[in-house]
Amino acid sequence: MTGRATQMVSSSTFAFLVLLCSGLAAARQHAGSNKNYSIVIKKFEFAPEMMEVNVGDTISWKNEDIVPHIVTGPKFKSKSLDQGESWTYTAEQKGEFPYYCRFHPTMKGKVIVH
Amino acid sequence: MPRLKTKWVVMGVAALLGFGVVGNRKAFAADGPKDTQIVGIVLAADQIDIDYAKVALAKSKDKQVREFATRMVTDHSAVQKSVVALAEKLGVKAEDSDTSNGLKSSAAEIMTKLKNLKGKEFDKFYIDNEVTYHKTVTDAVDAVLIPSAQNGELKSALQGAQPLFLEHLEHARSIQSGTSGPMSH
Repeated sequence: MTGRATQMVSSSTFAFLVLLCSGLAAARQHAGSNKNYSIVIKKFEFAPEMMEVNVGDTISWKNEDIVPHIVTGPKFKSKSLDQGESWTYTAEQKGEFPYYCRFHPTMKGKVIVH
Repeated sequence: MPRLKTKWVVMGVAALLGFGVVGNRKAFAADGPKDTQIVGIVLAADQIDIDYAKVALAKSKDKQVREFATRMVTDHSAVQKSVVALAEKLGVKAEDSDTSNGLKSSAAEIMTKLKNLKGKEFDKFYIDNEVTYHKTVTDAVDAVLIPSAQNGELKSALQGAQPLFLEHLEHARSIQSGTSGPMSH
């Protein structure tokens, strides 16, 4: 390889690395902007009943009742949550997602993902 | 609540519970049940609904009825466990009263009917009774047990349990009216 060719390869590699780094930085910045939200299950209610989040945000449900509950929606479903247990879901898709407790169907909530 | 009004509410709920008012007038002669009697009433009420549910699980083939009955066993067992733990902590020993005894004797009659019915007749009677029973219990908790509880922790526990009884009532009503389902309310 000639000196000129070597110089061109080095320049391309450098440019690629710059792009890769900036891409990673952007991804990291985006990941860093994701937020964590909490919903408490207490006295047979989801509080807050409605939550608005962005794609990539996480939502944690914590059961403080003495009986088990199951968070059940069209795009997500928790395990049976005993008292003190939590379950976390990462919002992956935009839309409105009403959910309920499969054990206690009168308990309802809604997640809106922007 | 003024004493006189409390007494009338107690008597009204006693009538709702299905006992002779005379007997309950005697039971609630003062201002309502004592804490020891309240613990006895709550434990009896929970056990009765667990027993109804166990019969339903043994006899019913209806998915909604079976799911509801399963929930009654789980939830009322959890309430019983927490009431027993609280009573132990407070040093309160459950005591029978005319109310708890009346609940048990009424339950024996219901149990006989449940055991004699089958199929859709059983399912209808079980769910109808669950609506009536939970309505009676929620009314009694609001009107008698919470106002009568002397210990703050016991009162708070009763207030905390009330949403559970109300959810069961609404759940049973939705099955009764045929509107049960996750998003049908």
